[in-house]
Order: sequence, then structure tokens, then C-alpha cells
Amino acid sequence: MWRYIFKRLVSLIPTVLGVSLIVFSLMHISGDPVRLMYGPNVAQEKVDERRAELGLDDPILVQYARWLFRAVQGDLGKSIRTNDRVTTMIGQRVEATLSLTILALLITLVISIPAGVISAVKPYSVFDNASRVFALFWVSAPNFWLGLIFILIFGVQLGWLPISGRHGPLWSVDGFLSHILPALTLGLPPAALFTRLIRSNMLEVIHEDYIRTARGKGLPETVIVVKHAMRNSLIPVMTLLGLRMPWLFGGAVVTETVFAWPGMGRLMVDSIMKRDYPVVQGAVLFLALLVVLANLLVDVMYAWVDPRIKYD
Amino acid sequence: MGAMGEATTPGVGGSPWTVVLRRLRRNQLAVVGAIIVVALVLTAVFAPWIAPYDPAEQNFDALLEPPSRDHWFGTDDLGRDVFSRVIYGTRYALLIGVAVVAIESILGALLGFASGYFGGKVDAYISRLIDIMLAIPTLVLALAIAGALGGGISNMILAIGVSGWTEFARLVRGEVLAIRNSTYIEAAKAVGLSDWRIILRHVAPNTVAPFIVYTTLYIPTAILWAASLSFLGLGAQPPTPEWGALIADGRGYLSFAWWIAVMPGVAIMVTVMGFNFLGDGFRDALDPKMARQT
Amino acid sequence: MNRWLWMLVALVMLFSATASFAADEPQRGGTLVVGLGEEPETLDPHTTTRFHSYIVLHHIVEPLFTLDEDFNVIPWLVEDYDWSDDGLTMTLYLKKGIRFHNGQEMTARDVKASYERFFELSPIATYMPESAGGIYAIETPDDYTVVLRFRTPKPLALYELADAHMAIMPADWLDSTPEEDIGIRALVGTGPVKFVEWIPGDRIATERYEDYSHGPAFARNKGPAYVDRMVFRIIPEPSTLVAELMSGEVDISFDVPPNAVAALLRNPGVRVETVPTYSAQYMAVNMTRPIFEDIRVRQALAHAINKQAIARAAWHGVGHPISSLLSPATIGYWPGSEDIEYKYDPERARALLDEAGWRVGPGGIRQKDGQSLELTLITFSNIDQWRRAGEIIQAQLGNIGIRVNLETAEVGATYDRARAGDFDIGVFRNTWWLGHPYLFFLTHSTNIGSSNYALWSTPELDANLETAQNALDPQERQRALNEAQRIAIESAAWVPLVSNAQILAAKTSVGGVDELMKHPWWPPTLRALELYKK
Repeated sequence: MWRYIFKRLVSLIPTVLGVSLIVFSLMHISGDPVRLMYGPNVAQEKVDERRAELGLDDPILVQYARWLFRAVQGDLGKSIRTNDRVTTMIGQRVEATLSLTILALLITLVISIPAGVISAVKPYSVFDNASRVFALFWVSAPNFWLGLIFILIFGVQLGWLPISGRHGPLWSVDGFLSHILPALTLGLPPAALFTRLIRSNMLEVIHEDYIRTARGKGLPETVIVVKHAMRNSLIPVMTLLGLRMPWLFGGAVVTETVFAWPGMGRLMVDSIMKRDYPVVQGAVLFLALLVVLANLLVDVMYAWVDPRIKYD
Repeated sequence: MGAMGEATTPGVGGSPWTVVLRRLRRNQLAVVGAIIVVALVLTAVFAPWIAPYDPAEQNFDALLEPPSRDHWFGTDDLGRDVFSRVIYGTRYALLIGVAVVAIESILGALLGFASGYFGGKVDAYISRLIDIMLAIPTLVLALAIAGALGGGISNMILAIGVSGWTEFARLVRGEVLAIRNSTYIEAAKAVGLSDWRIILRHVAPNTVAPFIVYTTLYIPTAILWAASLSFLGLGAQPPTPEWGALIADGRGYLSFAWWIAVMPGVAIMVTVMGFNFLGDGFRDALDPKMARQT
Repeated sequence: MNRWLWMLVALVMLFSATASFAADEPQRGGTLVVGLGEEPETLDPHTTTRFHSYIVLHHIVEPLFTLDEDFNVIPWLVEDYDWSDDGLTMTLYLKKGIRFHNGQEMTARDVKASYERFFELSPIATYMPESAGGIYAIETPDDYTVVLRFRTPKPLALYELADAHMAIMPADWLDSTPEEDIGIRALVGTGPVKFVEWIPGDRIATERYEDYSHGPAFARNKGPAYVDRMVFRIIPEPSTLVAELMSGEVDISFDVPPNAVAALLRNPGVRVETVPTYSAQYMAVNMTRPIFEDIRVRQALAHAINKQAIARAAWHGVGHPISSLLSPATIGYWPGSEDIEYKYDPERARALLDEAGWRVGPGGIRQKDGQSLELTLITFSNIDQWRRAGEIIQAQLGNIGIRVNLETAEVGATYDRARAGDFDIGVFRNTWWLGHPYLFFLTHSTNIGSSNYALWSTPELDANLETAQNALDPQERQRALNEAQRIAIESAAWVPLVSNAQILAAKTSVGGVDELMKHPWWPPTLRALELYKK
């Protein structure tokens, strides 16, 4: 097992390198960050000076090599705009994004597991049909639009929840309240998707022999559903969960913008808009790392849940 | 964004089309989806006849009017008729959806075919590229590309298309590998046909079915992503009546002139739902095993 | 029914407003939440060039001088100053007992360190440093005296010293603080509020500086501030910012977009005010194009543009047509420009083109010697007001038979094209409160290839711009600046368009807005000192 993990970790290196190369080239075909930052009132000589200082006039491969050389030592460079360290900037934003995505993930699971199981146990029931319509509703709405409408209803009209911003960590009262609307915006669409997936997996499992055997043995239905059917139908859900991690982070980009959320997603959007290469580079790299590690974690858990799978 | 998660293994089809159509007809939601999609296409084609006003026409005597008999979806801050703008937006939505999927499927098919056909190093490189693409959230990658290229509809289409081809490539690669390892190939070689022709001849029919499913499920995804990019200011620019841009334009008025931003949002939802219904229906019809379950 | 209800509400509001007006005594305490539409990149006054940085940092740090309601420079952290007749020596006498937020008293050493740091780091330090013929030595004969020695006279120096970019920070603190923390994790000044923390992407928190008592002459409250805390919340999404103002946490914002004003005006709980800004949106004509050698063609362009329509449609009415490259709020504006500008007159424009030999051809596009009158218009893609202005100009020039191809790109790319002369006409904008260096920047021949986007000047224009910057006599400077404005307008190489208004939107529960309104540009110091929570 450990050898497997180690091998997987090693194989991540080229992936991460590739990500950095792609983002690096992308950012360097776009506009001049210095002019964008300085605005129209600064003379061109000053812009040129600053560009030279930042090494932006060097050939792109030289720039990449320089960046890479520092990056392997854990130094992701400094922001062109703020002159602050990229690692520091990311560090300050990670918590907000993680707390938001984790709550969103919880919402997803808390809704989709019971809903999916009940739908499967009683297929074509009123509940099943309702959950289907419900699911299609959430998957079909653009999530920034949902966010705006949540703000309008729960923030402006009803005044139940804070409109925007992160008013503290997840475990504080104010903080928790401010997490609710963005987490719903982020977590409801995948919840809809997962419900359907769990339902179809459960349906498949329920018809399998060992469940019939269990039934034959006269075990109570709840035990069968929870212990046997659910456990086995959750494995593909986990795979999907791993595959969906990037999706959740992608959604966070939009959600954070709507809710003025101080997370990685907005840092990335802002930096893309301002052509702050080192920050975009660092942030995407960090996200990619999170994604591949999440996938690895899922694979490892997969092995743990399903003893039939062996790795070497 | 989304809705194609269940579609990762749509199953290998090849069933006669009449059967598929019959199955599709029996699925009520799929029928509804098909009706919606046909209606959308008709709306896009006949937009100038359906829309009661010129979508760009400003009317300073009718600013921010709520929905009424004259203006079904009300008017916006420049007195433009929201209904007409939403109707014209259908064109952009379908254009974006189709163009993005075209880029994705062509890129995916080429790379997937190359990967499966050549194998070895080519396969290793392309698989690695797919790994890289999968590590970056698609929306983030599309954002970065759109940001680098600058806004506008065509750049946005390119950005989304270039970011989202991996599933198509995997599909084609799988099919090519399956055929390659089969005994067909020996037989066909004996007849004197060249490798790639044989493979193409067998891969093409086998991938048609999953391709249809993918396409119907990726079009709504593309529309949602495009709306997000437009909303973030990196996609279609107002006054283009693209739905995402319409929402972005009207968001400032949400609290007292809700119709400007809500109506295009509803249009997006209906469109995405229509394609999803149809896509689900196709998948069920093409893969009887899954049809039984849902 | 609905209308009656609203009237009733309005009446009640009116009564309660007058009632509370009677008892409108500033109250101490509470937190004032300011909504920021853009996150500052740093709060370091010596490095930033961004408006949103400036507007926040100016609450915390202060320059030695400031501007009063009539744009006169007045002493602030200095008791008095002497300026030698030859303009080469300026002696500043600092006020005693002004303390930084860290408790240290402000002394001459701090002024020297701050100025030197500004000259070294700031990309906009182009007027005062030695390299520009400015200050070559800063002497500190005692703790409260600073002597500035100039290579050549710098008549506008006082204005520069009144700019918060030249704010004073403690020398020791500057020495001992890591460079990358200054303006991001720490900031120490003499302003009415102290920097507490900056949570990136979320908020910049400040609190009242209890020992503050040196409010400028025009402030009713000399200090300390009424509110306990001033928090700047960063809300880049405009609809969210508006929602927060209407029923959320944000008390006041200066960043609501023009298209949200209508929404806010309908909300009885929010007060909206506007003032002119010193920004100027203008069209530049690429004078290297042979087509524009004939002044009649340029004049035709100027006559064809309806600035009022741009103000209304592009700026949602929150803007005013301008007649000069300087906006009326900019120091040095020439009111005479209103009489000589090329007014909107499409008939005249058509006649001028006819005279110049451009005749209407097929498709309504004018032609001359087989060449059709087609122009490329460049402007910024990502700013609504520019793109819209571009579309309106496109339509209006179309009216007189000119086909305009609108090519928008993001800011950096557009400026690159402009500098390279790769365009026919372009819509740009600059913001500068002081007219003399600004007009020099925009129109002097030395700035061709950088900031002079018409790529053109005349010796006469150059001479006037130089006099406007360098003459010691203020009247002579103003005369030259007026003359330069006249030449620029009459040349029609630049066509002034619109100056936007600054918008203030505040909950009615915020007091002191009337005090703020008395000063034409709502200085941050006044915001910190006068605003309070009812």
C-alpha cells in the first residue's frame, strides 16, 4: 500500500510540471501586467523599468526556468501587484475556500445519500419523482444566478442570513451563518447529481445475489439496505467525488465572486484579470495539487472500503 | 456545469436505430426534452419573427418597466425589451453549445484516435496531457485561457472547447483499443486493408451512440460555463444578448427590476433541462441496462 | 394603492428625517462599514498608483499639506513654510506634538526618510526628484525643520506635498519593518484611524486613533473620530455591494456603479449624492494618418459627436459633457473652453466633410479619390463605459457617412496599440487632479510614443505646457495652461467627451454626510472625522 502511494506521488510530478507549463505559457501570451497595474498616469519609462526589474522582458523559457528553479525550493515568487509572497497570499486564502467547499460537500452528501437511498428503495414513488424534478432543477441553474437569487431572497427580502462576506471561521456563530448561502449555492447542484447516481447504484446492487441471500436469511430490511447495499453502492460515489473535486473548486471561483468570499477562487479570478502571473501560476498549481491529492486519497480509500482491490 | 457525471460509461451501443427511437418515445421526459430542444432551434432560427422588438432598440420612455402585455418580460435600464433580448439570446446559446462541443469532439476524437492507434509513446504523452487537463478545474482553465485571449464570444468558445475535450478523447481511445485487440484486425489485414482504415471503419459506428449522448449532455454544460465566463466579464460582452451577459447586465437591478436578470436565468434553466432530459433519454435508450434502472 | 403606500412611507420618512435632523448631534461609537468595489493592491503610499489604494491609505497616513474647499494648498502637519524667491529652497516648520500611531513623535527625520523613500520607489515620482530637476537635498537642521533644496524651481511643489503619495511615515519603523509587510500587514501614520488588519479579499479593518487632534482647517471635528472602527469591506461584485447597502452590513460606499444609482434612489433607506470628478474621457485622433492632415476632417469628427448621449447612455446620466481635456473639477481648468469647443452639429460636420472633398458614396459611406472613409476606433473592452462610448461614437460617425470599425481589447493591449499609433481614433481616459502636469503628460511632444495618443504637438503648444509647469508666477502659469487648452481643443486632435461623477451612497443611518458634502472631493480625512452612526 505505501509503495503504491509513493509510486502515485512520484507520478504526480510530471502532471504538476505540465500544469505549471500550461499556465505559464497562457499567462505570458496575455497583456502587460505592469501597465495594467500602474494605470494610464504612469510614464512608459517607469513601466519599462519595472518590467525589466521583474524580468518580464527575458525570453519566456528563461523566465520559466527561473520560476521553476525557485518553485522547487518552495518559493513561488512575489505578486506583481502587491509585491507580497505568493505562498503567503495563498496561505491566507486557503482556509476560506476549504471551509466553504467542505461545508458544500457536507451539504451535498447529507442531501444526496438519504435521498438517493430512499429513491432506490422505493423507485417510482412520489418521493423518487419529486427528487428527480428537484435534481434537474438544481443542475440546470447557473450557480452565480442561484447565488444572486439566494442573496435577494434570504439576505435582502427576508434578512435571515448575511448577504456576503465571511464573518469568521466555520465554527463561530457569525461565521457559520455567513457560510450557509455560499455553501448552498456551491453544494446543491452536485447534491442533485449525486442523488441520481446513488439511486442507480443502489438499484443495481439491490438486485444482486448477496442481497437476495441476505433477504432469504430473514435479515431486517434496514440492515440489508444500510449494511450491504449502501456500502457497496457508495464506492462509485467516492470515485465520482474524487473526480468532482476540480468541479467543486471551479464552482468556488464563481460562488466566491458573488459572495465577496475571501478565498482562492477570487484570488485566481482577480489575478487573471490583473495578469498577475505569479499569483495565477501559484494558485492554479496549488489547486491542481489539491485535486490530484484528493484523487489519490479517493483511490486509497477505495482500497480500504473494498478489500477485493489490491495495489502493488 | 455538470450533469454529465453519470454519463461516463454510456455503454457500447450499436443497437438498431428504430429500437432506440421507440425506447426514446416511451420515455416521457425525453420527449419533453426533445420538444424543448426543437422549440429552441426554431426560436433561434425565427428569432426576428418571434421577437416583438429589435433587441438593441433603446426606448427612454419605457425604462425598467415590469412585465406587461407590451413587454412580456419587461424592459431593462435602457428601455430594451427583455423578451426580445432573451429570444435572440437563444441564437448565442445554441451557437456556443454547438461550437464548443464541435471543438471538444474534434480535438477529443483526433487525440483519442492517435492515442489508441499509435499506442506506446504517443499514448503515454496524450494520457499524460489528459491527466494534466483533469488536474485543473475546467472552469479555471477556461478562465485562464479566456483571460489570456481577452473577452468576446469567439475567444470564450475556444477557451471552453480547448478545456473540455478529455472525456471525448477517452471514449475514442477506449474504442480504438478494443478494436485493435480484437481478431477483426487480423482478418481485415489479411484482406489487405490498411490499419487505420479498418479501425476507423469499426470505431466510427461504435462511437456514434456514446457520441450522441455526450453531445447532448455537453451542450448544456458548455452553455452554463459560457454564462459563468460572461458573468465574470471574460465572455460575451454587453450589449450582445448572450444570456450570461444579460444576467450580468441586469444584476444591479435584481432587487427592484428582477425580470432583467431572472428571465435570462430561467431561459438558461429551461435550455439546460431540455438538453439533459434528451441526453438522459438517449443514454437510457442506447443502453437498455441503465434504462431499466431509471 | 401601491403608490399611496409609497407616498405614505415617503412622508413618514420625511418627518422622521426632519425630526432626527433637529437632534443631529454626532454620536460617538460604533463601526462604520465602507463598501469597496476593488481591493487595493497595497496601502503603501510610496509605491501605489491605484485609486483604491490611495483612497483607503489616505485615512491612515497623511501628507504635510492638504487642499481646502477651493483647491488652495494649506499647511496641515506643518505650522508654516518659507519658499525662497528663486524657488530653490523651501523650509518647512513642522507642528510639534504630532504623534504617529506607534506613539513616536513626528520629526524632521521622518519627513526626510519618507520623501527619500517616495522618490526611490514610486513610479509616479516624476516631478519632484532630482532626476526631474527637483529636490537634490533634504536637510534637517533640527527636529522640527526640514529644508528642501531644488535644482530648478518647481512651482507646483506644494501641490505635490499635499498629495498623500508623499505621506509621512516614521523613519525607524520604515527601517525596521520588512519591505514586503509595509502597506500589507502593517502601516503607521498620523491619520485619524489606525491600521488594524487586512484580511485579503475580505476587509481592511481600522480603529480610531485616540490622540488625533490635528484635523485640517476645513474639518468641523478636529479629532478624534466619532466611530470606534472603520472597516473597509471588499465587495467587487456590484450587485452584492448594492444589496449590502440596501439591507446588509455596509453603511456607505463610494463605489456603486452608475447603473445602480437608479436602484438606490428608489430605496428610502439610502441616500445618494454625486460630485464631479477630475477624470476626463476623451477621443484622440491619430495625427500621423494622412486622412487627418485636413483639419476640417478632424473638426467634422468633433462636431458629429453628441457628448450628452454618451453621458446618458454610457454613464447612465452620472456624467457631464466636458469641453476641455481637463474636467471642471481639475485644478487649472479653463472655463473659456466652453465657448470655443466644437458643439454637436451633424449638419456642420457633413458640410465640413463635403468641403474637404469627402463625398457620400454607395452605401452612404463617404469617398474621396476612390478611398472610402473608414476609421478604426480602439478602446477598452473590459470597461462598460468605454465600450458603450465607443458604440455611440460609432453610430454617430456613421450618421455623417463615416464607417467606424470598433476594435476593443483589454487595457494593456489597447495602450500598446495607442502608443504604436496602430489606430485611427481612440477613446481613452485619465484622472489627475492637477491640470498642469496632466496636460503636459497628455499633449507635450516629448510624450509622443507614450502618453500623447494623438501623436502630435506644436512648438506653441509645447512652450505653453512648459510655462504652465515651470513659471514661478501662478498667473502666468494659469494663462499658459489656458492657452494650451485652447490649442488642444481647436486642433481637434483631441475631442473631450465626458467626465463622470463620483457617487456616494450611504444608509440614512449614517450621520455627517452633509459635512462631507461641503468639500468638493470628499477627502478621506473628512470621511474618517465627520461620519458617525446615528
